[in-house]
Amino acid sequence: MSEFFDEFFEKLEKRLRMLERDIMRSVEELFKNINIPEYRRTLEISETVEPLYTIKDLGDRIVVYIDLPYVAEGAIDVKFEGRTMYIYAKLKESVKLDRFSRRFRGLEVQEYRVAIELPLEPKPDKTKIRIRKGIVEITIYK
Amino acid sequence: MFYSEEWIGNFRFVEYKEWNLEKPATLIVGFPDTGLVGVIGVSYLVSKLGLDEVGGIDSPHFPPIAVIQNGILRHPIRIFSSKKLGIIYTELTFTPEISSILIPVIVDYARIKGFDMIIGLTGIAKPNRLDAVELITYYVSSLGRVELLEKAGAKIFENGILIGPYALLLKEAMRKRIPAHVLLTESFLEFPDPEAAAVGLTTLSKIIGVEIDVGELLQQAEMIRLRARDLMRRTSQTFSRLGKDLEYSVPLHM
Repeated sequence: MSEFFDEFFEKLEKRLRMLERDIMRSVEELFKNINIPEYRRTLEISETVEPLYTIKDLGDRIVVYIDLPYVAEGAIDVKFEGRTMYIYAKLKESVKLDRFSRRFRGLEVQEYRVAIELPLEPKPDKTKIRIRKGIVEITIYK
Repeated sequence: MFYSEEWIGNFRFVEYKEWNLEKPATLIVGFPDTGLVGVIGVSYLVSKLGLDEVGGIDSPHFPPIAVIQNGILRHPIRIFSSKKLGIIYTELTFTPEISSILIPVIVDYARIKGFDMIIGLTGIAKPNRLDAVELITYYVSSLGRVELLEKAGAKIFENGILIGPYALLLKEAMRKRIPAHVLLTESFLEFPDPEAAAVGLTTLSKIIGVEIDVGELLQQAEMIRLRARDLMRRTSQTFSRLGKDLEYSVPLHM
């Protein structure tokens, strides 16, 4: 009898997971077709800056490069949440922006912050992170 | 305020003072392109040699922009000079349509001013740039193989595709019979690359016979990369319109 219930619940769970995936896919499709007006982005001048990044599809893997010049050693934090990757990186020391223009007096940049939407959900055992010359290379195998 | 003003096509060339060249004279151009190698290198060159800002270019084709430096009003495209050197420098990014009418006019201006040679400084995207230890500077010339450039350490760019303002510069200079060379240093495509700019400048200094110490440029590299983010972002946006990715490819027929 217990075997029957185990099998029943296992099948039910599987069906629910499939249903959940189908619903998520439909919702994503729906949002893709809705024309949400883009908000106007202005140059951000605050204590955090958005780094430059590029995403390349190399067939069997996605490679993300993030340019983080003047970043402190060991101060780069990469986190994943679903298909979103979050990067936090502290600068070697805060940069006073009034050295570029007097208008920016009182503003100091202390860290990089960015959230990057990835084309696929990374799996921990299939993701590699490498840092070289202030550039972070994140390889996500498909 | 202005010493002279002259229209070439739909572009207004303004000179702030009288300036004349000694022969042989070289015009160096720096536009935002691959890895911002041109603008980083040329901007450093202007500062290092303490060149005088002698004029500028404006046009109804440009956005309504005025550049202000040290409280002085300047034009969107800036002209610097010394006795044997002229520099055309801008941080504006142009659509392919504007580039195609601007570049021929710049070549005309070079001819009118009596420049003997035009040199463009830029980068060429290197796929594994992150792991590259030694960066090579290639050249493409309207004259083909050039001994002067080879002696300076540049290697001829044998096969490939160039896209953007420097491609137009070469074609237009060849058509108008002004020797023009474009130095292409291996670099990042979409990240500012001061290291590549330093390598390109070292080759350029040997070609024009002017010593340029790039030590300070390398020391400031990280801060330049941080500061150049927004310009690089704007420049990268034009890459997709230009089909810049094609530069990675090699022509089938060689």
